Amino acid sequence: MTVAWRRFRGLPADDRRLVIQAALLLGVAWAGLRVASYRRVLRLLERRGQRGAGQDAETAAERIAWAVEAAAKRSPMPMTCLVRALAAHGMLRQRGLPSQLRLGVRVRGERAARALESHAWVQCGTRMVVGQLPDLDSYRTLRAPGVQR
Amino acid sequence: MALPPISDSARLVASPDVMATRVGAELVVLNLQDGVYYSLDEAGIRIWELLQAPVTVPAISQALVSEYEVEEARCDGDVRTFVAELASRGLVQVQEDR
Repeated sequence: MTVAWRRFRGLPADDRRLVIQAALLLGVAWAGLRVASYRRVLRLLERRGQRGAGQDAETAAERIAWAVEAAAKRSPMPMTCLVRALAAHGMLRQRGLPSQLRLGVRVRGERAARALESHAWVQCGTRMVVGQLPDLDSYRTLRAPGVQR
Repeated sequence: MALPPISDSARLVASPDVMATRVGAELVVLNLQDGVYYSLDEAGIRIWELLQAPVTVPAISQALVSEYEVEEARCDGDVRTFVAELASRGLVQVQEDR
């Protein structure tokens, strides 16, 4: 804990602010999913902000990815892929950056041993922000009613 | 939660709080309100497809009767039971004519 705190104190001020924001949104997402629906938590977190002048989307997405992972690793609560995805999505949207939060499922096993696995990830344009997996292609993306593949 | 019977003139449509995807031969449906996943088989998938736009129970039954070799009265009963189940789980919205 002391080492982690010293490391945090040693970060540039901008990075410290970013990690704090990530921690806050992770906490909001984690708590929100326990008391409200995913849809309500998503609406709360994805209020769009203004894009900062000169803000490079690629760099911003990279920093947000780092901040979310850094904050999630040090959280006392288990931060699922969905919580991380909601936090990253919220941070991107607050900066007026493009963000696609995807939910996907796959079925593993046969008959009695069949199990449904779900996963959440976020992309900013073509860049994966959180939720990258080596076998991400094995997940089928869930779509809203009326949305054609 | 038991809902009142769905009338023939009621229009049903998939809830906007739902997301779905095909996984192999089944359709996986997620209710975003409670985070519960459901799996639909072939007949359920066809009914779900019809529910992507507002549709009545008789219209669903007629579509299935014309597409499958199934007896009309039996089909109608099964469709009513199935869509009532979908509605009770919040997967489908029911708009009764006033």
